[in-house]
Amino acid sequence: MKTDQELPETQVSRTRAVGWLLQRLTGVGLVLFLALHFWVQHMPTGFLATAEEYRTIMRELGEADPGFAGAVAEGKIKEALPGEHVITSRKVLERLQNPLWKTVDILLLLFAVMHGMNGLNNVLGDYIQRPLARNIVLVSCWAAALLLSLQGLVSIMEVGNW
Amino acid sequence: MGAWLLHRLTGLFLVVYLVLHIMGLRSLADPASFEIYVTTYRNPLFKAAEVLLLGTVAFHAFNGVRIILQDMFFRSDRHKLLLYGVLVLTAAVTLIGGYPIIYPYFIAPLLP
Ligand code: HEM
Repeated sequence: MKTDQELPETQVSRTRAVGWLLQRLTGVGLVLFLALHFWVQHMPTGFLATAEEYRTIMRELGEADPGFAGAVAEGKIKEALPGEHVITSRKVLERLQNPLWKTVDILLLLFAVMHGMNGLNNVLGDYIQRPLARNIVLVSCWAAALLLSLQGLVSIMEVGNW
Repeated sequence: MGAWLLHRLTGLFLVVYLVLHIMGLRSLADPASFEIYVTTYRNPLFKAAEVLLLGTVAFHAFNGVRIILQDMFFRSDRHKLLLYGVLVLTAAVTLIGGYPIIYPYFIAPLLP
């Protein structure tokens, strides 16, 4: 088994440099996308339902679907507390109706997955020396990135109508 | 060294969370499952965890920006100062962003 030292030096350092650069580029993008994501999904803005809005949404969805009403009756879907802002499917749908928001969410997904899996690969590369093991890690990280991206894309694309 | 380790640990933690998060979003396909999914995240324990998650992201993000800027523009005698800046910004964002998150669960019940 060849070690790092025995491989052509340029080859090892080039893959590592690409990983290093990719981490920085995706990191910069994530600052913007994560800030937006936090603002719309975790802060009390119109992108979440107020307690009153959530009560209406629960009632309407319950009337349309007995399964939904059942989940409410069993306490699996809970009313909002006073002053609470709730993430809810209808508000997500409204937001994703806008192509710009849908694009932002897709970019957030792809950047986060790439940054996360490339970061994982960079970390593991620090502790794993054998070239074969390194290649297995590299391929696994990118395979995981591909699967996660596809799964996330399906979820996003199913919401809204384009 | 401490900052390096913390950056690495927060990064790995966020990867685990990201995978769970993306898998959880499959429930968006059906309103009832999505509301059930969201409801499991709406209790005092998870609201506290949400603020911790915010703190984790905020540290990793500000520290990541510090690493990038430092590599490009700053002499090493400025690095300590930049790190303090990261800690202050992390604390500020976590407190300011965390307040509305925990308000209905921990603060409103205490008010008369
Ligand atoms: C605003 C958001 C973010 C910024 C600015 C950012 C920035 C960075 C930077 C610059 C690095 C390279 C560190 C180095 O080379 O020493 C890094 C590493 C890493 N990031 Fe992020 N990141 C962000 C969000 C995230 C998120 C959401 C995740 C999880 C999915 C994540 C996971 C990782 C991992 C696993 C590493 C590798 C850690 C290491 O090499 O020690 N990051 N990040």
